[in-house]
Amino acid sequence: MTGAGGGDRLSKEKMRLLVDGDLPAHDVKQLIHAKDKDPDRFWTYLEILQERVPWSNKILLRISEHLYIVRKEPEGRIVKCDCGHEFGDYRVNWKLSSEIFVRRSREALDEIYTTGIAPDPAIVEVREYYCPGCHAQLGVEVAPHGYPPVFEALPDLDGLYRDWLGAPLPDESPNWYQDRSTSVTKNWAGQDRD
Amino acid sequence: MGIVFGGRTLKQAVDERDRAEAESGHSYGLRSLPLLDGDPPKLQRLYWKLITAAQYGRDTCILLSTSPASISGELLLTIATPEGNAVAASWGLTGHAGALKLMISTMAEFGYDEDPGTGGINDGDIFSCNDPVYGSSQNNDIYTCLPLIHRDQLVGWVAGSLHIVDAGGALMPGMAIISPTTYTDGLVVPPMKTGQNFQQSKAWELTLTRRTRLGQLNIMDDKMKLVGAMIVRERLLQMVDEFGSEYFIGAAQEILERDRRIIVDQIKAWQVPWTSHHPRVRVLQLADVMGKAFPAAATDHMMHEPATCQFELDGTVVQDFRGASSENLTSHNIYEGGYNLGLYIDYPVLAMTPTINSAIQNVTRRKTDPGTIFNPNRTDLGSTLGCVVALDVGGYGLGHGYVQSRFARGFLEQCWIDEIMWSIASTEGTFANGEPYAAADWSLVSNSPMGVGAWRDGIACSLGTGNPTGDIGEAEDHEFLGPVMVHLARGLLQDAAAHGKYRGALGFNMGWLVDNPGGTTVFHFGGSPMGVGGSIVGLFGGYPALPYYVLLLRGTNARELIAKGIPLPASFVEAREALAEGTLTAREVTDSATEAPDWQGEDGDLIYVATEMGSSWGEPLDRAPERVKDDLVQGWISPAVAETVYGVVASTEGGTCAVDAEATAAARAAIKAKRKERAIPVKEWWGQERERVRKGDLPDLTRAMYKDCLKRQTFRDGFLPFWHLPDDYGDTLR
Repeated sequence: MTGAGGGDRLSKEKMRLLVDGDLPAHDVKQLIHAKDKDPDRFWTYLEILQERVPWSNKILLRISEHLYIVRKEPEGRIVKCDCGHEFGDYRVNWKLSSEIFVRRSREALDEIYTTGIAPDPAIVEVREYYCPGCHAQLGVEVAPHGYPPVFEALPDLDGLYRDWLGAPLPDESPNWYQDRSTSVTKNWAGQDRD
Repeated sequence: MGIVFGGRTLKQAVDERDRAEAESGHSYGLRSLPLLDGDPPKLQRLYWKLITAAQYGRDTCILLSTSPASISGELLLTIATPEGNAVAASWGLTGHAGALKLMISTMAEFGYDEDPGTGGINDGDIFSCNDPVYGSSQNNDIYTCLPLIHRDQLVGWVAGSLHIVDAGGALMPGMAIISPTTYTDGLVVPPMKTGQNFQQSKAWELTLTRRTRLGQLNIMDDKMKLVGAMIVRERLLQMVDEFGSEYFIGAAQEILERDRRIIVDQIKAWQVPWTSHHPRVRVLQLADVMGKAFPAAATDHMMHEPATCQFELDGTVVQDFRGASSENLTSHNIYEGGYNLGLYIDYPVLAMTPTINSAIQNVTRRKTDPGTIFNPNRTDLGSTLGCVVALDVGGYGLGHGYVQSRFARGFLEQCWIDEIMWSIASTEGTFANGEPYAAADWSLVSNSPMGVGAWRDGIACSLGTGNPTGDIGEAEDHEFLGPVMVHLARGLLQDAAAHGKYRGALGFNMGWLVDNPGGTTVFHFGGSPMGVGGSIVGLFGGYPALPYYVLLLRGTNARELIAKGIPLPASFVEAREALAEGTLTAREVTDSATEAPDWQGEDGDLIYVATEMGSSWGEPLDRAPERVKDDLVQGWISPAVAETVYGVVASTEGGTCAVDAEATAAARAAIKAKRKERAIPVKEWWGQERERVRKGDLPDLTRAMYKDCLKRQTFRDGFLPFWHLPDDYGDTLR
C-alpha cells in the first residue's frame, strides 16, 4: 500500500477540470483518497499545459500559475510566462527580471487590505512582482525593508527527470542545479559603479 | 537483566535503535520486512487493531473531559515501542506523537529503569512530563505515560497527551505567551514518576492545584488521559497475548520501516527534488511590557525564521533553519520537544500514511545554527511558544514549499496549505469578594480555517488547530469559564481575507463586553500569526496570511447604549463606524496586531478581534468572475472589493446578481494598466534600495535583526552578495 504511483490513469478531461478548478468537490475528494495515484500524471499535466500556451517551447516544469521552465536555445532552460515574456536562466531568481510595486503607504495598502487589517508598514512592506509582458501579478512578498527577494524554488530538473520520472533530459549537467542569482546583482553593482 | 524485551536496559535499547538507524537510514535498521512479506494479512490485522485501540481509548476517555482543550480535539492517545517511537495514534493533535520519543530517550539516558530512588519502571507506574527540553512539546502539554509490561518485560508505552488550560505561567493565565525564562513559563517537570498502581499520587494532584490556576480542571484532564491510556493498555495486552511478544515487537518496528518507505515513495512520486525558501519574520513588542522586573527582557524583537526545504533524490527531506535570530529572553525558543510537535503538524500535508507514527522522523533531517531560537545553547530560556514557532515555520513556511512542489508535479488535489491559525483570549482577576479566577477562551483555537488550495478557497471555521475533530464550542461554555467576558458577537467578516484566484478563508470576528469585573480583570490576547502576517512569501501571486487584529476600547458608553436599547457594535468595523459617528464613545482606543498587552479591564470595556485570515492562492485578477459573483451573493465580499481588487463588475438588479462581462474586462484591463504605470523594473528598485540598505536607513527592529543574523554564515551568504555589500557591513549597523 504505497499510495505512490500504481493507480489508474486520470483521464485528460478530468485533469483539465482539475487544472481549471472545475472538478466537482466529490471527485477531488476521491482523488485525494485514492489508494494509488496515476503514474502518468506528470505527463498528462504537461500535455494539457503545452496545449494551452501560445508558444512552442517545450515545457519542462510548471513553477507557478503563470510561469514555466521551458527549453530554449541557446540558453537551454529559461523561465517563461504563459503570455510569452521570457525571464531568462531558470537558475536566476525570476523576480530579478520582473517589475515591482511596493506598497508602503497606508493609501496603497488600503487598496488591497480594505478592512484596515494589514501588515504594519512601519515594519514591513508589501511587494508585488508583475510580469513585464502581461502584468499578471506573479508573486507577493510581505517583507522587512531591505530583505532580498526570495528565490522561492530551484528545482533539480536532471534529478527529477532521470531518477524520479525515468526519462533523462538530453542536456544533463552538474551545472544546472545551482543558484546563480548573485551573478546578476554582481553585474548590477558593476554597472552601478560605472 | 534489563526491563526491555530481550533483557536490555532502556538505554541499551535506545542506543541500539539509534545506531541501527544512523548506519542504515532505515527505521530500526530494517532492510527487509520478513513479518510483513511473510504474512501480510497478519501484520495488517495487528496494525488495524493498534489504530482502533488508540481511537477507542480516546473516544471513551474524552467523555470525561472538563476543559476546552479536549473539546477542541487536541487529546491524543499514542502507542509506542519500548524505545519511544510512536507506532500508531488516535485522532488528536498529531504533534504529540512526535514528542514522545524524546521523553523516553530522556528516561533511557538517565537510567529511569534502574533508578533506586523511584524503584525503576513497573507495571502500573505513571510517568508525566511537560518539559520541552526533556520530553514534551511545551509546558501546557502534559504527557501521561504508562509502560506496557507483559510478563515482566517492557514491550511498549501508551501515552495520553493534552494541552492543559493553565500551566501556571508567572505573567499571565492560560499559556505563558509572555515569558522570558523557564522560571516564568510556569509548571515545568522533566519525566517523573507521578503515580503507581494506575493511580496518580496525591503529591501530583497537589502540584497541579498549587502550581496552576485551574488545578481542578487540570486534574480532571489528567484522569481523562490516564483512563484513556489504561483502556488502550488493556487492549494492547490482549494483542500481545494473541500475537506473542516477539511478533508484537517485531511488527511495530516493521510498521515504522514500512511507513518510512511509503513516505519516501510518496515524496518521489508526488514532489520535485528542489530547494525552496519560505522564510518568516515575527515581531514581539516587549519593551513596554517587561518593565523593571525583567529589564534584560524589555526589548522589542523582530525574529528571523528561515524555512528552507530540500527534497533530496533519495526521497528524504532536509529542513534548514540556518540564518535564524539568536536565542532570546522570550517564550519563543525551540527545544527538541517543541520541534517534534511543530514539524509533526505538517504530517497530513507531507506524509500520508494510514496513521500517525514516528516514521517521518527517519525521513527528515534538520540543519540549525547553535545559539539561535532554533537551537538554543541555554536550556533555561522561555519556551512555551517554541513549539508554536515550529508550527508556524511548518505551516506558513515549509508547508507552502511542499505544496508548490506537488503543484509543479501535477498533483493539484494534494495542494492545500495547512496554516496553523489560532488565538487565545485569556482573562485573570479577582471577583468583588476577593476570590481569584482565570479563564481562557478557546473558541479561536478550535475554529481554524482549512487552507486555500490549487482548486478551492480557504474554508473558514472548519477544523480544530492541527486536528480534524475540532468543535468551536458553545459561547455559553466559554462565558461560564470566563465569567467577566460577555460574548457580543461571533461571525465571519466581510472583505477580511487575503484576496486571490482562490481566496483565503474569510476572517472570523468576535466581540466581548467586560461585565462587572468586580475586583480586577486582566485581559490578554495572543496567537498566530501576529504582527506582520503568516509568511514573507505569498502563493503564486496571492497574499500571505493576514495578522490577527485586536481593537480595545476602554471607558466606553456601552452601559448607556444598553440602557437605551441601542445594539452594541458586532465587529471592529461597526465599532469604528460607531466611534466616527459619535454613537459610541471611548476614553481610550488601542488597536494592535502584535501581542495585546495585559490590559486592566473595567466595566463596559469593549474588545473586538479579527483573525483566521489565511493565505490566498494566485492573483485576484485570475479569480473566475463567477466565483466573485458567488462571494457577492453570499455577502463574503462587498461590491467595492469585487470591483477594485478583483476587477469584477456585477449588477444586483431584480434580486439577482449578474456579472457584466464587458465592464469586468475593462476593469481588469484598467487594473493592469495601473500596475504598468506604477511598477518599476526590479533592477531599478534594487539600485534605490541598495542605497538605503548600505546606509542602514532601515526601521530599528529590522536593522537589529540584520545585525544579529549577519553573525550567521547562511544569512550572510544570502544577504551580502545580493546587495553587494562588504563583509563587515553587519559591524557598521547601529
